[in-house]
Amino acid sequence: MNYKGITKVLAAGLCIAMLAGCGDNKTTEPKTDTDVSRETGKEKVKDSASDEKVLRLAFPSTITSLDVMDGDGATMLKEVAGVIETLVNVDSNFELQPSLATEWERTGDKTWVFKLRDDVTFHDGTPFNAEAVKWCLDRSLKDNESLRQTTGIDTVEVIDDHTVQFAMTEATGELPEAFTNVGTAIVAKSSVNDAGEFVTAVGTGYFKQESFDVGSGTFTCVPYDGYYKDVKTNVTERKIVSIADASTRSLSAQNHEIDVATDVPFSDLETLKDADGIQVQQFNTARTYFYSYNVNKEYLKDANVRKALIYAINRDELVKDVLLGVGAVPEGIFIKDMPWANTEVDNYDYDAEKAKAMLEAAGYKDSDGDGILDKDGEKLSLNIVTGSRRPGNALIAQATQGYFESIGVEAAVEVLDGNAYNEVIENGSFDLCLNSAATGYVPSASYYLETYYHSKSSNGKNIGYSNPELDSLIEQCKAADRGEEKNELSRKAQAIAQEDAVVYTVADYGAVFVLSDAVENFSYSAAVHDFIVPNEVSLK
Amino acid sequence: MRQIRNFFNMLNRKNVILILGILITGCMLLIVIFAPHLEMYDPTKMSLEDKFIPPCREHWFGTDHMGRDILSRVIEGSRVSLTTAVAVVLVSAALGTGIGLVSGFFGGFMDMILMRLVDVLLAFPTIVFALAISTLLGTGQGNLIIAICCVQWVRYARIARGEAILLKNAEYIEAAKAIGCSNLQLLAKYFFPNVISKILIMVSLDIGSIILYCASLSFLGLGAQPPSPDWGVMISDGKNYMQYAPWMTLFPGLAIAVSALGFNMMGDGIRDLLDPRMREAVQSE
Repeated sequence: MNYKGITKVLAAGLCIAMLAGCGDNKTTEPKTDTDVSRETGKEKVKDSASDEKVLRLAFPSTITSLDVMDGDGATMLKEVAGVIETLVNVDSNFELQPSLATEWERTGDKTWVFKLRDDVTFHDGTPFNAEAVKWCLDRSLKDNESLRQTTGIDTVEVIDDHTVQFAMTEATGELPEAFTNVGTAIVAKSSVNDAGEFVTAVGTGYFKQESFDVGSGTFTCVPYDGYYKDVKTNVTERKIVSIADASTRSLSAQNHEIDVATDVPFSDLETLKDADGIQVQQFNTARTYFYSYNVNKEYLKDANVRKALIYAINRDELVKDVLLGVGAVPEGIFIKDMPWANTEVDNYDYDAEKAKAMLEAAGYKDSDGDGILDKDGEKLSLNIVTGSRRPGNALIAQATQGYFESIGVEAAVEVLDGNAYNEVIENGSFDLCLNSAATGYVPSASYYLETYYHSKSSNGKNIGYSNPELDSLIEQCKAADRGEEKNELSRKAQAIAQEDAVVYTVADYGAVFVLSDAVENFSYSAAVHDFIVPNEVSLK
Repeated sequence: MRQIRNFFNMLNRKNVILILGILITGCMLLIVIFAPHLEMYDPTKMSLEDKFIPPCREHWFGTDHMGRDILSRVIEGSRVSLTTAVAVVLVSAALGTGIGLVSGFFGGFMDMILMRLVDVLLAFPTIVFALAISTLLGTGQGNLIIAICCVQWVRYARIARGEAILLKNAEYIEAAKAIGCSNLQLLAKYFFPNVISKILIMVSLDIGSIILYCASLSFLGLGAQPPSPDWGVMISDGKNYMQYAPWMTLFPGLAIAVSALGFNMMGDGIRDLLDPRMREAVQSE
């Protein structure tokens, strides 16, 4: 046989070997020695790990820093890892609960006094006290401008070892609410090195940091012996892995590499309902998908044009068929579980004929017969932009484009990544932008309105929205103390905002969770930023 | 009958690849030209009640999450994806050849500057560099073409410059100079025809990989935008329904694979045919 012949035989042999490898393992011959030894090896690992209970969690964005000033890092540390804590907590009914602070009082228009727990120590053994709170908040407020705005704190003053006084920049009744925000979590001085860099998250939570690998975005933590409360859980370690891609999170959970994965593809609700060893659940949070019209554009200054375009969107179908039922059709601005929600507002329910009639009344006709409405020679053509991070953004924007097309309005969709999106929003080259935001990021009646509807908010500035009456109501609401009067001010503001129809809630956010059957005591709270893993979560 | 036999006798291992490549790219070209007549449905029209229909008689490739027919979208997508790829190759070949010839012909300081620039650009992995430029320019088909051209022209410049340096001292060039040809005439009449065959080979070999680059960048959201039926965008759209509706990613994926394969086979065949060293091998088989 010549050289070519030998090559051919070898190639044929290789092909057969590869095909054999593709075959079904169940029907192949008895196991070889190596197979057996590999399996027993696995058993051994399992045996030695039987008293170890590692809860593996997938975090839906990449963690690059543990600094409490970094939004993603702080959210992971507080809500998922349970390493850091805030002064105040919020329960699933949006009521405030003591956490590191036991009680608080508004002592003046612009002053608040907080009493702190006296039995708390940081993970490094140092005591948690007023000095520690002052040091941590001063650091966060100094470098985090948005936190300064959200909280409105001017100065922090130590009254005694366990009492802190806060002076505010403006009259606000919402400091306790602001202290539920992950950005206000308290860490010890030893979190920061001599150069002022944040190196380790030394908090007060039930879990303390064990390791953090920036490269793989993996964070591990173990129970802290000195925790001030009794926690019933058998988990000996929490391992949090950053997995930014929804499909990858889902597959990791299906392969039993992860015990809890959130924000997996919507279709998982259907595909995985019968899968072994895992359960799939849907959960709605106090997060919304909302459109903001760029009212700097002349034609969008006409409220009837804005409303007509909203009438064109079939929100029921959007939630049922585009979001595959993951989410809810909103009634007004806030989810109805929030005590201050005003559900008695006009939601502009789907009515394509009315949309067409309103546009016609506003002077839009298809004068050149191309199927697209126009006025004074200008086509009614919109540019919808949205960010890529939240799973429903691109879907809702694409569906909206379809709805607009059916009433003769042309639309282009741009789905952009973080920075590119911000750039487009800042230079105003859009007609409609779709956003997703947590309405309970600060669980107060005014926070969400102030952040997205007020003329001084960055959203208000970007889209050129200003209604002095609304602004004034939001400011009064913010200054009022928690209670029915405050909620009523918020409801009035919501009614005006909905009537203006400049910022419009198109769907309530839903998330699909994949949970391993081994996970116990997992509960949902609509009030958190993304999802919370309670300290009590255990493994079977 | 005899003619057919002669035809088959003519075929051998090398030109079978060429003919297959030409057949595949020919079919692609026909699809691009006649796309509007081949589409059974409007490729961008949303119809939510028809979402996620698996491949069936009405929808050969199934439908996607917005109820759009995937076959029609793949056909329409051929226009977007292939025209982008061809545009990228033509622009970068023209640019690269021009710069390469000028650089090689004039030499000196300009040559040094241009070639160091080429060295720098060649040091980056193509796709990563294109990704960076794309991010800088923003999304959209036009920016995608610019981004890939920015990295792709250097390969042509290298080849054209090499050829120009070889030719510069040839006797007939000296002769042309002696009869008073201007620099422009020299470049156009003597240099350009000499490099064109090499450039053509590269063009045909490059289209396949450019199709993949375009699809990758569109997949990452930097190229065409939804609901444009670009193949990369379609795969990206279908990614989240991989387990639920695999046909959403399968068919655009196949379209990319087949077109890249077709162009690569044609490119290989043309290279074998035009390269004098390879030509002997082809003929002797």
